[in-house]
Amino acid sequence: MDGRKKAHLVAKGFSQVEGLDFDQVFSPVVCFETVRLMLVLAALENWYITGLDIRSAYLYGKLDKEIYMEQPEGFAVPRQERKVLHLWHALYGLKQAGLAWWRTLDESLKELRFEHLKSEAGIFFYKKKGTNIVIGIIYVDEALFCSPNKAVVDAIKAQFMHKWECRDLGEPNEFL
Amino acid sequence: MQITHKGRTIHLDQCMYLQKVVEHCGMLNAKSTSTPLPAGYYAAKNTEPVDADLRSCFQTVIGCLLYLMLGTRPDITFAVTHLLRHAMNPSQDDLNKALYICHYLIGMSTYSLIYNGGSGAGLIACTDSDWGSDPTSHLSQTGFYLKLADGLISWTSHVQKTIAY
Repeated sequence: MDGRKKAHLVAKGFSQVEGLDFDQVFSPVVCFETVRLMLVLAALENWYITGLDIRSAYLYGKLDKEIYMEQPEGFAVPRQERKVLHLWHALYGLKQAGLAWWRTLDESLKELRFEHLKSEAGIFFYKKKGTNIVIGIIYVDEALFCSPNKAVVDAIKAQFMHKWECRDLGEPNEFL
Repeated sequence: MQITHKGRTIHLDQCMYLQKVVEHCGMLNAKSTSTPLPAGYYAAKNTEPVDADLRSCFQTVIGCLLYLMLGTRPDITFAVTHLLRHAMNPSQDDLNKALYICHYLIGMSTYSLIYNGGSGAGLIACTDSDWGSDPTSHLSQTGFYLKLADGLISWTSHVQKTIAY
């Protein structure tokens, strides 16, 4: 693939109890129609498109529930094998991992002055007086940014990549 | 989904994914057909008990086709949705017809959606329906598409909910 180690730690989401360990599990994503519409908009307006992909996005999701996990087999802290781990961030496998990540993303995009649409929570608009509009199309860990102004979108992208560890896709040739 | 962006035109295709699906179905050197389903074909309901292996195989194939249909292939919308109705209890014939769609795709494997921002073509919407084409339920089939910048952005094909026959 791309040299990354593919084995990773997952949580046993099946042991989570509804109401206690999680409430909502629905996580908003963009639909194909919207992605196509946004790309057409970019073609019509002759906008610049740039993409990135956020590495291990789910691990950034902040949890609003108190969740404990057994120490992974073979990686227990010596002489403290009976202790459990208290999770601060989501892990792959947790039921609410997707939603937790989206909330964290939404929060951080708000700091960058982006707002998500009410009708499509994966589309983010950047509106600031005196500069060009930027539209973010985000599907879990893949993002496209479109704007008439390359300098503006590159600056925003740099800020975004400062917050999360990302892989810069440049002018994208793949999405979803 | 592959994106090719050149000036004011954007091409979208899933050729690489399609290639994988064809490989998975073991149809690399298979012949192509000119239509997604035989003309006038109607998928009859399977009355046999569920065959778990057949169902799993059918669902795998139709799932791949559904992903293609939703992404960049409006041309197989009717064929896929028509067969999907039997996803819970497919017959051998349903599976054969799903593979028939694959044969069609082999012949049209390089199709892509092309948006031309300089075309000056505005928003165009088309819709059509037949009249009670389903021989058992007498329900009609409806479809529509929306076009912007000379390329399709939205499409669907489904059976109407009420009987108009």
